[in-house]
Amino acid sequence: MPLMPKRYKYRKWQRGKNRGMAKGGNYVCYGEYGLQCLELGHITARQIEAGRVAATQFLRREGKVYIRIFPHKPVTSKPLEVRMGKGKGEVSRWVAPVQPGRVLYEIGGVPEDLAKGAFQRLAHKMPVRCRMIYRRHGL
Amino acid sequence: MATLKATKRTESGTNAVRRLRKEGLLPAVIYGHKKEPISVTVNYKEFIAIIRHHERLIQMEIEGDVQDVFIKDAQYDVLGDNILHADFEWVDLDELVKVGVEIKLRGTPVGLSVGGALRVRAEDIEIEVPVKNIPESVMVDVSGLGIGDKLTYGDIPLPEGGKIIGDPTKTFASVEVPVEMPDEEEAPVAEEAPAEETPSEE
Repeated sequence: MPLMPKRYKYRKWQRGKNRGMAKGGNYVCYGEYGLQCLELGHITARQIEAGRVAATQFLRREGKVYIRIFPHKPVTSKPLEVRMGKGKGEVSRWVAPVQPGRVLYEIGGVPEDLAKGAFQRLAHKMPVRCRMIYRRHGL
Repeated sequence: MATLKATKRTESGTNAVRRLRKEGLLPAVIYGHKKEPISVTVNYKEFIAIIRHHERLIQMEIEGDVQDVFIKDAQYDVLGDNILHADFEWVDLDELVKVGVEIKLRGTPVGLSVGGALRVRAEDIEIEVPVKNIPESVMVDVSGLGIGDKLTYGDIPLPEGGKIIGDPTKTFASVEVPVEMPDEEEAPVAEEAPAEETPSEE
């Protein structure tokens, strides 16, 4: 099931701006390998779930897939063929705004080539350019 | 032990260090032993070569004066590709330092051949060790593990004078019988609508 907040303070948000580089969550800390985002973008809850399913199926349930992002932000849209005005549209999807450097997923407990294959499948589900990175041991 | 040449640095601030990085230099600082910290610059390529060889104890030549220093920390850019700044610490060769060391596993557990699965809970270990004995990694033999067997942090072979930081009785690797998980993809999932308030009509 796609991720979404259990409860929220405000039902609809203003759009805001998404700019700059990732402020945190930019290194691998749970698994051995990570998928790092290289562009600014919004990743929807459905895309996050599609990525998780793609990776889990490729790994045949070996190892562990960690999701490092969460869709906190509601995005509204108006229905088709509706005139402008009459208030803000309804929430249509939940998204995770991401910046370059952000680690989207991590995989642990599998060999490198298997993790690479899983990330290749997973990256096709993402609306942003991504690359595989490794955990830094020591310095 | 590798030697790194350093020159004292008087400039500080974003623009000044950015200029230094463009010239192939790395801004760094040396501190410790209750001495006044010194800002220095080192050659970026030489420093990277030392890091790639997993060396933590080096000799630093500061304007002709050679001193033993420990590479304490390195600061990376957002994408994690380049090092922006390094921290060095003056040390005596017998001094104890706290470092994180990679755990490498050797062998295939015997429990895997009878349907078990190896579960590793940590990739690194924090140890306190004399600075001259800092290992690149610690090797742990897991080939003797059968189903239900486990290894604790205390079982990890450490270099001479090394001590584990934390609980040595804590398990870090075990061979367990895999639990059958329900197939998430096949199970029907009811689509849950977000709990929304109905807007009041005015």
